[in-house]
Amino acid sequence: MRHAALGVARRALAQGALPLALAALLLACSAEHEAPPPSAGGAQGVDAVAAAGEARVAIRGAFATAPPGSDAAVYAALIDESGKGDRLVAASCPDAAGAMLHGLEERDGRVHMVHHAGGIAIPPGGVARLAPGGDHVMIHQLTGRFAPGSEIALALEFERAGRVELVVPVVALAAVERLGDALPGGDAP
Amino acid sequence: MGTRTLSARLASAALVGALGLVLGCSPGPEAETAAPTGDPVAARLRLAGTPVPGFPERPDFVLTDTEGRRFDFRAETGGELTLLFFGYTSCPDICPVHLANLAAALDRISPDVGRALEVVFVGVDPARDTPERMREWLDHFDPRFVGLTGTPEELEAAQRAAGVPLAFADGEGEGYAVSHAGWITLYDRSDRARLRYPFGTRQKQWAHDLAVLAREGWPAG
Repeated sequence: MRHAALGVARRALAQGALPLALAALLLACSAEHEAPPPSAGGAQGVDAVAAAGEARVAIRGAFATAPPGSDAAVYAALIDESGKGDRLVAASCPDAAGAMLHGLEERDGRVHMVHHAGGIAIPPGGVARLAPGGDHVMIHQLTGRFAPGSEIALALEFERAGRVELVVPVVALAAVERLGDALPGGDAP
Repeated sequence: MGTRTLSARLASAALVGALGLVLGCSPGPEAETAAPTGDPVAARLRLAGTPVPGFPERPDFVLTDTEGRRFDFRAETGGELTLLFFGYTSCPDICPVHLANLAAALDRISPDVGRALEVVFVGVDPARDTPERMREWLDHFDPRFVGLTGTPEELEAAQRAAGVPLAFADGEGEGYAVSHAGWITLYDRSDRARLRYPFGTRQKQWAHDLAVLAREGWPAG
């Protein structure tokens, strides 16, 4: 019930139908207590779509981690459905000081954080896999504690497909392995 | 060559795991940990960790634990199965997921394994890794995990002794990142570094390796 309502909200937001989105979100909130907590091992990533003209990017399996700190990482698979490629150019989060596009690289035995100032490319008809150990949206200085089972609202902006707002579940750290595996495009290089 | 995204390696690890399932191996932990390694013992025991070249000795360094006491690593952990990890508590992705996977593995195997194992986390970001913060942070994973930190000089000496690349602050402002070794080193009861566990080590791999090593130790020869 709640997930279906959230799905409607997300689709409505993706299509710019704000009133419908709000109505669906209200429905989702009213049903909140009936749903099992996602932290109980069954947490799932969420889907959304960014579309503008012929450009279209599907966001699949999006979720956020909940480290015991003030920053959170968001992972998802970004799939270009236009066949012409796209680029994730920015992210924002209303409940945080900022959001940046980051990656991780291993050099000289150390793990380095990389800032993707130029965005993250999605190949034509392909997938940009924002997965644990690699690229991700890093949300800095969340205002408040986002425990497993809570949700974080964020917006992603694509070069061609435009902006999409979505609400991602915050999952327990021990669930990151399972949800990371579930992201599409896992056999891509 | 030297630069490779971690996710590419994780993807290939996941693919190997998936292939194992497709080939219809028994669904026990061993089915997903049969990574080929260059060491005959690791290969025979089907250990997922990467053998440490030369099996160096358990390092000798002294830091401060989360209760403010001096902690002599070699004296306190000698003769015990030990995992040693250099990271930082503000780490947004690698450190917390790595430790959460280890803690989840310990939850699913015999409590005897957890009791036979010492997990030591060294915070290499002394400005933020205060003893109080380290204790609170580690308690999110497992209250038994030992947290150590020290002065920059002590931390450098500890990293040199353990043979990990020195961590350094990367970026500006309060939210700076720290570049650090991503692996956890396993020392066995004969006080040798035997295996390294990179980020992305799976919960089933941890559970398998720790259960085997707690039971059998590292076989001689």
